[in-house]
Amino acid sequence: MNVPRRLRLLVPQLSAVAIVAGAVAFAFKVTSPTSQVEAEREAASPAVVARKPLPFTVQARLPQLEEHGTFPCKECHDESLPTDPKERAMPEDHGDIDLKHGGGRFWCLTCHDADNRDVLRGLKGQPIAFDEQFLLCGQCHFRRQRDFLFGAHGKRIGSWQGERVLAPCTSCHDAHDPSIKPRKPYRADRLREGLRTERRTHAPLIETPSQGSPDEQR
Amino acid sequence: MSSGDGPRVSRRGVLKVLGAACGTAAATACAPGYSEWLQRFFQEHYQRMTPEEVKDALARMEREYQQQLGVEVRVKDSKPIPGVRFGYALNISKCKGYRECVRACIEENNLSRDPELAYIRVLEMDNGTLDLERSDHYYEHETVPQPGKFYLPVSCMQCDNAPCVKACPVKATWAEPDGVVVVDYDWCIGCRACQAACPYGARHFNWGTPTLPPKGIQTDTHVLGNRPRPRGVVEKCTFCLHRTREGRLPACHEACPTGARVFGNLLDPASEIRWVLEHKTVFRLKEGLKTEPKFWYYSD
Repeated sequence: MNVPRRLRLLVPQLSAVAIVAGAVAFAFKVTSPTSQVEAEREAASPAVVARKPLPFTVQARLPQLEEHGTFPCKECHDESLPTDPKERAMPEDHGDIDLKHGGGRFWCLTCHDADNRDVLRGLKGQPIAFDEQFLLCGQCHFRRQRDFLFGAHGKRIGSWQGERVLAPCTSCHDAHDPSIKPRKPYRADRLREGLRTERRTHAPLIETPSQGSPDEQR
Repeated sequence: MSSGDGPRVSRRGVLKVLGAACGTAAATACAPGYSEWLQRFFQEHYQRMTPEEVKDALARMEREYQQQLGVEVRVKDSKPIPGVRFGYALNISKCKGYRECVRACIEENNLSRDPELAYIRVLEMDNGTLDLERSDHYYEHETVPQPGKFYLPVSCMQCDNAPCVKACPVKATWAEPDGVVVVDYDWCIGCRACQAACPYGARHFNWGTPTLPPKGIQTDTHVLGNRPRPRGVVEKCTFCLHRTREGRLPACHEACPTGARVFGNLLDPASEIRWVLEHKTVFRLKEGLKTEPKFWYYSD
């Protein structure tokens, strides 16, 4: 070999450095908390995927409000009508609204923006469009909002796959009185012949115990 | 009787009459109406038909419905979507017993109005109980929900281990790859063994010829689903497969005024139904029977 002597002397030192560097690199890869392999495995795990809500759009609410004749609010609430922040009854202007939401804690301007009536107003004073009202409701009803985002509350419209369109909160709930009211059900299933008491010509073959007596149950 | 007394019947005479009768029968069989009857009579089991045979059968059904009902009914044969298995979840704290799902189901699935059938039964039960024997689906209140009661709609659970499928002696009912248990109405012999086997009361028998309101017939139908049924066959909920196989939601889901229903693909980890199953306390009816229903109930 005609390698210069000076270089030949360096060979053991160079190989030692290389071995140490390789060991460090290997240790770093093994103990690194976010190694590539693990990140990939995590992304593929179903539980992790399911925790991200599917992208969605909320059905527009403004067309309904426009049809109802209450939008745009600025048609009345313009410069000529100064804002009166005082809590009071308004039978002549908004007589159809019976504010029960919040049990007396709220007033119109809690949710409606005093300066721009065409939008709602969040807790930080941020404007929220009527079409994105779930952002406003979710400030207090955050558990419902989580269910809403993931699909356990509210209602999907149209299709179970593809584009996810959700019904806005106020399509089911009256924002000023949100609880769902009792109402008449669709007619009952028709009793089968023989079960109808008025048509029975004889006593029933099997007596069913009355609902009221707890002693007879089981 | 001696051979000489009565009218003589010659062999030639008998053969003549027989030949003429056979000829007439063959001619009538070739007439359009009778040939349809013969085709219907010899129609194969749905799963054994070739695509061409299915196409012919569907066209024949459409002609028959046009004739019987006076309405142009479209009979589809949409296939299961690969990689999809349907599941349903229902929030019983949201259900208020309005029976809007029942109404929508009857109208969507061409259910007979008289005698009346309904796939969905909304059971009314006392709070704190889950005693199906003491439930009432004939409730007639002025308003619902009644205080102290809760409501549990029950329809076909589309069981993975369906007892009705095992009970059928002629294999006229089976589970499709997307999990929906369907009935071949033309193969069903009406023995009602499946009805007896079903622990959920989800199967219904057409005792009479189904009557449909002429203006209220759903004309978008599926051969294994909501096409008008003949008398004497068993029918059941199919998760509205004529809608769901095209990506739409079932009619009961669309009609629910409280948003109590969640429908989706169980095989999709990002789907809403999977989130409900993973994050809510869910239960199924009569789980001890190991029928593996694909219909979950939850409350929140």
